[in-house]
Amino acid sequence: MSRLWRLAATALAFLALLAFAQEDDPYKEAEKQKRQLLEQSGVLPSDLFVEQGERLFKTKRGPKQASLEACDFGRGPGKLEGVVGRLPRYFFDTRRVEDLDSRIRTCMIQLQGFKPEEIRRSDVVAIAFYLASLSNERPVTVTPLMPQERALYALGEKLFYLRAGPRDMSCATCHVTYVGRRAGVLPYSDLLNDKRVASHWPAYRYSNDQAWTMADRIRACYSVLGMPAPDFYSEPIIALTLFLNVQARGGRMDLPGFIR
Amino acid sequence: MSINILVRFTPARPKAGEEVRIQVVVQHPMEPGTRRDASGNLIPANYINDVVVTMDGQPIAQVKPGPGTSANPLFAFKMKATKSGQVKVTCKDLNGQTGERTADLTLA
Repeated sequence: MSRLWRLAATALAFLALLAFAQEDDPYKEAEKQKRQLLEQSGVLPSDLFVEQGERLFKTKRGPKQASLEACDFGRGPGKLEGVVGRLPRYFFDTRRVEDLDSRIRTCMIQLQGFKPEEIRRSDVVAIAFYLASLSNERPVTVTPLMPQERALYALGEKLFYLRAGPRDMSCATCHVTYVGRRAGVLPYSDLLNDKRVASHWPAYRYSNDQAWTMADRIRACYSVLGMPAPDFYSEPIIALTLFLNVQARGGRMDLPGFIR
Repeated sequence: MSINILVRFTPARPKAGEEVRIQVVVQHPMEPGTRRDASGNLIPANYINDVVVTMDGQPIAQVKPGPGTSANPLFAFKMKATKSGQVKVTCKDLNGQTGERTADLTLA
């Protein structure tokens, strides 16, 4: 009898090992989930956000009753292809370095006449998904050249390595020192060497049905470290986004991302 | 803004006589009316209670979802593709908001 139990236990352990091995590569697992979802429904949840964003982008809205089609994302007004891989960058009209989220917000304020407090975060995320769908497969080319961009890149690098907060941790603690190891389900991604990591934002997270941009990811990381998260569209967020996107330079964008 | 609807066909261009799936995803929070907000007040029910699918004006399917249907629901209908035509999906929620989407079904 005891031999039977031992056999059963061994079989169970083997099965558990198999299940563990299957989840080894999060990119392959996400690819599988995406394929299954497409087979089942034919529609990815990110398609909904893209569609919603396209409508928000092209409809005349706000006090000025204007669409966002004249918005300049760095390639000139109305030129939208591949812009996500070129942001954050310096904009002469606002005299600021802006990332995708804050540029959408700027255009909603300047072109459509919204007050900053009237802008809904969900609208900005949907529009970011729409722009992302137009940058799919495009290269990441963001390069800090302007002095303002260089200054913000330096700030981003400093924040990335700055150990602080109740746990005395930095971004680099997980994403440099403990790359490949894990505390939760997923292994820590290699932000400095793996170009796929920064080039799949904005992304849909299938494990909890969330649409996230890079800003949401950075804010969540801060809360993991036990620190208050920087505000949306704030300088620390843009600085870190700039630093991370430069690490992904040369990579190909996979947008909108589909991740766990 | 009206309710956002996506319509896809699988296979995208069916052969005549082949079975085709019309897949409809509706973007909607589908509030069941039993959830409470942070201060403990009931969130009023607001879900889609009517989905109608027609092809060239001919009704194909009608669904009357209840409060138990998930957010952003997927509806899929199987039918035999006999001719090309325009598929129209309309839906209505409890607040009286409506959405409409047309998609052209073309045979291979």
